[in-house]
Amino acid sequence: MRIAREEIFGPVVCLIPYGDEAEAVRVANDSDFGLSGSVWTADVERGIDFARRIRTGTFNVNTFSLDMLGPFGGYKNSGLGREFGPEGLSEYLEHKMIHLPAGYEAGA
Amino acid sequence: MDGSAGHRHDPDRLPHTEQVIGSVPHASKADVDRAVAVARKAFDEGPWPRMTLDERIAVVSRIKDAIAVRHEEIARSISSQNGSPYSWSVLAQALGPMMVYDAAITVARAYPYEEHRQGVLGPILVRREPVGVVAAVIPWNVPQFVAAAKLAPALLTGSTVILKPSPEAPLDSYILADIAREAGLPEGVLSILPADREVSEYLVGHPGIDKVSFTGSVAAGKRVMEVAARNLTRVTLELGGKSAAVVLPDADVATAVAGIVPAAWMNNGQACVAQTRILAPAAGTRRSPRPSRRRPAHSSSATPSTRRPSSARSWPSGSGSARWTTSGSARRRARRSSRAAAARRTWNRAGTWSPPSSATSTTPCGSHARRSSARSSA
Repeated sequence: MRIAREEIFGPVVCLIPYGDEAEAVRVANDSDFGLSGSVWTADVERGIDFARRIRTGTFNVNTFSLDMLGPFGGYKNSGLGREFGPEGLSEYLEHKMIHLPAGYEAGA
Repeated sequence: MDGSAGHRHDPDRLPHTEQVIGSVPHASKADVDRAVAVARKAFDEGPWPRMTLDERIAVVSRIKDAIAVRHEEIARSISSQNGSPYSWSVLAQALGPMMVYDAAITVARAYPYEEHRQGVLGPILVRREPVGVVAAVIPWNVPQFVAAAKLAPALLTGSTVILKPSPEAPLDSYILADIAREAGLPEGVLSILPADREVSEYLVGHPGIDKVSFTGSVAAGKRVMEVAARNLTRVTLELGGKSAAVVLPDADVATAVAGIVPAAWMNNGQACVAQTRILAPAAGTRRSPRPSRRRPAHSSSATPSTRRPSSARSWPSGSGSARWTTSGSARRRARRSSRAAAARRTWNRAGTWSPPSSATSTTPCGSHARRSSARSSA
């Protein structure tokens, strides 16, 4: 169903019933996108285990947040690279390797 | 950019009433050439990348402090352009960016710019150096938040930036330009160029650009990558989402609803991270979240700044194109879905209000939602 697949970018939500937890994981992952998601449970450890099985760049257990000290970005069609955190700063840096002569010791 | 004659001016409209509130000159290709030239010079020869990190942090801190001082003005400007409630704009467009600048400063201080390693063949020094001239292309839904997400790290590394706001929400970037100038950014380190699609492509494909950081739709993101590939320009793409909020059978439903509803409808659903697929156990579907029962309280004459946050359940959509997509697709798809709670017919004459709506499927979406050539609307 297109409404469950495409980003509407408006006040529209799709309510989807699922059978067991394995099906919930499958449906949650069955998307061209992979930006965010959340799980709501009485057991935070169960929520973390659920999060490990989801293919998105960010995830939430019993909360909804966007922390600026960690990497924010998407799997799949949700993007490339990350913003925020050291990962995000790295996006604005090039890496350079300088080979030094044998025996060189930093600060020596 | 100056607003001198010779530029095409586009009206900026109040989303609630379509009233024209300003007029913005669009950059030409010649403006892009000039901006790239000064950014190039500022990076290749100017003081910015040669300053110490502490000196750059001092300037970026002054930008953050000025946003704090001018937060009401920034929030008002953004609300008047994209229709976000004023309370949301204060939170997401002023306090949010301040947190982004602060976090970036914390990260930049701790970052290992130089690292000595013992290699396989001998000692090596690994350096991380600023990427160069950055084109930062930002959307209309949370312009100052996304601007901060790109400007803060780019500036702190010593890169120089050309910021390209969306034609739908360019006015607040003029406030940012004032702030940056007063904070003491050297000449050419930051240029702000509102531009249409054609000129934006010209910017992204410009050989003087080292890096493009883009936030927007999947379709536009793919185009950015395609155009940037010609020069192997580096890209960071932050695109759309269709995020799932999964309520497990052991969850407290009231807590889950309280958490999911604002995450689904923040900024009227105009957020990449919006939780727009709500998965609930079939056995408990009757008790699962039914956000459409909440009656959207609004009148077509209200503006976001006069509305109390508690009643802000229905807001105008921020872009003309998004309005049509949302209203057309929501109505069409709601009709098609098997047990649809159809969108309420509360569209105002200008067609700018989108009421919250939900669609419930009796069969798991997974059986319908296999990968295909899905397109993104925004």
